[in-house]
Amino acid sequence: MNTTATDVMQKKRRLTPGWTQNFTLIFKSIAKKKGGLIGSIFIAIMLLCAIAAPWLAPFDPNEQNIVQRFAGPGLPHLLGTDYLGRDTLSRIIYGCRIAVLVAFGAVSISSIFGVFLGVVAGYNEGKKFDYFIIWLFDIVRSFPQIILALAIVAVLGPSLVNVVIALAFTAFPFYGRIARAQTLFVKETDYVKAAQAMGQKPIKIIIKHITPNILAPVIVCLGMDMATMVIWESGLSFLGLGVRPPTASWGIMLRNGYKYIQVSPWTIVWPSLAIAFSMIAFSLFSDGLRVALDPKERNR
Amino acid sequence: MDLIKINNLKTYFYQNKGLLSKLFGEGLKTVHAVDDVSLTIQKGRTFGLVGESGCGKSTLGNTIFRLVKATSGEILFQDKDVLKMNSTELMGFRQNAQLIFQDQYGCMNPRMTVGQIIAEPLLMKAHGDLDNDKLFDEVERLLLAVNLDPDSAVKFPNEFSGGQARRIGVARAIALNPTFIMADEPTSGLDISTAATVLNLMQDLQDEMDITYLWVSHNLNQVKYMSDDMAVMYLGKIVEMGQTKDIFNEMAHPYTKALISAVPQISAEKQQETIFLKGEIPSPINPPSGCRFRTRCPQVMKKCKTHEPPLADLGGGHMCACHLHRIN
Amino acid sequence: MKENEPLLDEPLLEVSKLTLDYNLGKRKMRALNRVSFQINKGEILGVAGESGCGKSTLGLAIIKLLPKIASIRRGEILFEGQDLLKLSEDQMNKKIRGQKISMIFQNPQDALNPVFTIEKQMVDILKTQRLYKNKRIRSARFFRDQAIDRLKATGIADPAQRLSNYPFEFSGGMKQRVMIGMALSSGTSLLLADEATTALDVTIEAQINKLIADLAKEYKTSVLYVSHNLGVLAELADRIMIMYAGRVFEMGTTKDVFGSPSHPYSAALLESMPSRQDRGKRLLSIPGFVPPLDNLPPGCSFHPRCKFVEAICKKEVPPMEEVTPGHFSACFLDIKRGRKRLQWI
Repeated sequence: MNTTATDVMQKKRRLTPGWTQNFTLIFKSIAKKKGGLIGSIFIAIMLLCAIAAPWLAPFDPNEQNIVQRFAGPGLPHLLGTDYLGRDTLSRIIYGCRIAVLVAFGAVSISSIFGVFLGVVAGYNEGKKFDYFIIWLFDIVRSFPQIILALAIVAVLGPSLVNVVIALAFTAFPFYGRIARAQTLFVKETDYVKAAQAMGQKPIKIIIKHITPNILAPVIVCLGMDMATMVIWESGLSFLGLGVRPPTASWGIMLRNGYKYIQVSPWTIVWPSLAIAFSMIAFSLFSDGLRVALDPKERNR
Repeated sequence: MDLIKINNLKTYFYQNKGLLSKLFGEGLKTVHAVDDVSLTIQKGRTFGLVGESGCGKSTLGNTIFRLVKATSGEILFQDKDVLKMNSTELMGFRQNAQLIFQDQYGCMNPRMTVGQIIAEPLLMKAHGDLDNDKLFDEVERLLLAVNLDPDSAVKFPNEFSGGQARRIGVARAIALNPTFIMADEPTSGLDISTAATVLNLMQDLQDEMDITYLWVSHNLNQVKYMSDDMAVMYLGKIVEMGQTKDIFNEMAHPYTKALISAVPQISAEKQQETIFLKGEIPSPINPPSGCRFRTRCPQVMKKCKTHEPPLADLGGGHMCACHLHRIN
Repeated sequence: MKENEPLLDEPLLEVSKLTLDYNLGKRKMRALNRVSFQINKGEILGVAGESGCGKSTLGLAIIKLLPKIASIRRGEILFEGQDLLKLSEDQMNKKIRGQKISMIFQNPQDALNPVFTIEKQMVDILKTQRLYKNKRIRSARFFRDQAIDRLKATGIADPAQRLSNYPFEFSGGMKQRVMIGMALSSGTSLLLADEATTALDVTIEAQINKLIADLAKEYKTSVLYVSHNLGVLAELADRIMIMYAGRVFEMGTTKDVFGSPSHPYSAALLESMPSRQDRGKRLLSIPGFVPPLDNLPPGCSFHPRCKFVEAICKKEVPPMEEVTPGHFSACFLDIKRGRKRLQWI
C-alpha cells in the first residue's frame, strides 16, 4: 500500500508524495482499520445527505400534514412524523446540513485559531506574548462554555453563522492549551535543535517541524469535539438561540419532540440516534486519521 | 591554523528564577555547566572532548552553536565572535558548522522523508529556489557519499536501522560542505561493527572534505583512536588538555589517570591497574571550593581545598590544572 | 584481561538445546536456536554479541520473564538439577525468582518505584524471600537491619541514613547498587545482569563491575553477564560466549576467546574495536548487516558476511566443536584446517 506511493515518488524523482498520492495514502490507511472504515462510511453518508438533501429526502421537510401527525414508522413516512405531521426522515436528512456545517465550521475555525496561537505561544515560552496568550485562554476558559456561547449569540443575534462563531470562540482555548503543551515538548527535541543549528527561520521551524508533530492529540480532540459541537448546536437551538424554525436541525427536532415524548417517543428517538451516530463516526474517523498521518504507525 | 578559539567561556543556568521562588524559595541557584573554559581547535584536525555525564561537554558544544545562551566569554570562529554575530552572519556560520546528534532517530523529524530531511539545508541555502531534479540529484549524491541506497530518499526515518539512521544524520551534516562538525557521542547506541562503519565513514569524509571535528564522547578508546588533540572536562572545567598522544602517554591529572585506567581493555598488556574513584560527581550547583576534583581525588592535598589550580603548560602545549605539577 | 583461575567444575546451571521463537503474527522469529552452555558455581559467564543476537532473551528465558509472544520450542534449563521450564509460574515466584536467581537491568531508575523510600522497597523484597519465612525473626527491626547490611555490602556510605531516601535522591550508580543489594542475598546463587552498567559513566561503571566481581567471589554467586562491551567482559568474565542471530558461535575462557579467537565473527568483532587500532588506521567494518531473525540465510547464518566463506558454509550449519580443551567454536574452518590465526584486514 505504501509501496505504490514510494514507487511513484521514485519514478517522478520527488521527495514527498504529491497531493493526490498523499490523499489516497491517508485514505487507504484509514480504511484499512475497521473503525476508520465505519467512521468514514458514516461521514460519507452525512456529507452525501448534506449535499444531496433535496434529492434524497422523500418529502419537503417543512410540509405539514396535520392528519398524519405522530405517525409511527411505516409507509409512506419511513421514520414517522412529528407534531405537525412533517416527515421525520426528510427532516433528519436536512438536519445533516446544519450538523455538518456547525461541526466542521466551528471545529475547524477553533482548532486552526487555537493551534496557531498555542504553537506560537509555546515556541516563545516565557516571553510576554506567551503570557498574553495564556491569559487570553484562561479568561475565555473561566466562563462556563454554554453561558459564553449564549452571551455571544445573544449579542450577535441568533443565526447559524453566529452559532458557529460562538461555538468556535468558546472552544479555541482548549486547542490552544493542548497545542502549547505539546509544543513545549516538541520544541526541545533534537530535530528542532537540528533545524535551529542549521539556521532555519523560526516560522519555518514552526510550520515544518513543530506543527506536524503536535497534531496527533489535537486530531483526537477534533473528532470528539465535532460531536460535541453537534450537541451544542442542538442545545442552542433547543434554547431558541440557534437556527430559526422551521429550518430542520437535529436540536430543534429534539426540542419539539420532547414535549410529546409520552404521545410519540419516536419523535426524539431518531434525532438522538442521528446525533449519537455522528459522534461515533467523528471519533472513529479522527482516530483513523491520527494513525494515518503518523508514518511510524501507518504501516503497522 | 586556528579554526575555533574559545576564550573564558562561561555558561550558567539559573534555577528558581521566578518571582515566587525569589520570595519564598531557597533563592537563586546557579548551575555552573561550563565554567571559564578556553580552548583552541585547529583546522582539519579532530578535537576530542571527554568527561563523564554532567561535566558540561555537551553544554559547551551547544553553546558554540548558540543553542544555549552563553553567560560570558567569546567564541571566535575564523576570527569572528559567534556570540556577537548578527542574524545574517549567524546564518553563514551555521552553514559552515554542523551538528551530529547523539540520538540518531530523535534528530530527524519523524514526519519527513529522509530526502526532505537531507534537502532541508540545501533548500535553505538556495532560499527554496532549487528545481526538483537538481535537488534530487544532490540528495542522491549525499546518500551515496554515506554509503546508503539512493532509493532511501523516499522512506521515513523509522524504516532504517540505527547505523543507517546515523549515516543519514551525517549526510545532512555534510550537505553544505561545512568546515566544522561537532559530533556528540556519534556512536552511542550502536553495535561494535556498526560503530566501526560510522567511524570509518567520518574519517574518510574528513580526508576528502578537510572537515574539522569536535568529537564529544565519554568513550576514551574512541577518542584516542579518532582525535589529534583532546581535552578532559570535569564539572564544567578543563582539567587537562593537549595532544592526544601526549595525554595518553603521560597522563598528568589524577582524574585523567583514573578515567583512562577505568576504561576496560581487551589486550592482555594493560598498562596499569584500575584506579577506583571514591563517590560520585558533585552537583554543579555548589561545586567544591578550590580544585573541583578534590572530593574524589586519591592524591588530595591541603592546598587543593583553598586554592584553585590554574591550567598550566607542562611543555609542548600539554596543559594540566593540578597542584601536583606546580610544585615541581 | 582476567586470567582464568581454576574453577570448581560444579555446574550450577545447564542449558541444553534451548530453542525459542517470537511469534509476530505470521512471522516467526527464532531468537534462540539450540543454545547450550553451562555456568559453574561462582563463575562469571560473559555473553557478547550485537543487538538482535538473542543475548537479552537468554537472560529472560532463564528467569522465565518472557513476553507473551515468546514460546519455547524445545530444550531444558537445569538449575541445581531442576528443570526450570517445568516449574509453574507460582513455583517460580515462590522458589526461584528473587531468591535463587535474581536479575539486574540496564536502567535502575525504571526498576525503582519513585514514590516509595528505598527502605520500603527493600523490605518488601526481603519479606517475600523464603530465607526469612521463619516467623520468629520476622520483625520490622530485623528487616531494617537486613536492608542496612545489604546496602553496606554494596558499598553505599551511611546506609542507615540513606534508607529513608527516595530513589530520585540517588544517582544512577547508587541506584544500580541498590538493585544489586536487593538482588544479592546469601541465598542467591545466580545473578543475571543484562547490560547492567551500560547507562553509567566509565568511572562508575568500573566501580559497579568491581562490586559485582567482589560479591560473586564472596558469596560464591554465579553471574551471567550480558553486555555488548567486550572490554568490560574481558576484565570481568571467567568465560565468554559469543552469540550471533540466536546461535552460540564461540565459547571458552576469556583468554582463549579474546586472545586467540577461533570463529571469524569473534575475530571480526575484536578487529572493529577502536581500542586495538592506532590513530588513522581503518577499522574493520563487517560487510552486510545482521540478518532479520525471521529470514535467516541457510547454513551458517554468518556466511553472507564472512570473509572466509566456503561452499559448505552455505548449505550446512556448522556444529559446535572443541578446538582446544574448554574452547568451543562453531565454524567449518576450524574443523577442516585445525586452528589458525584469523586476520580480517
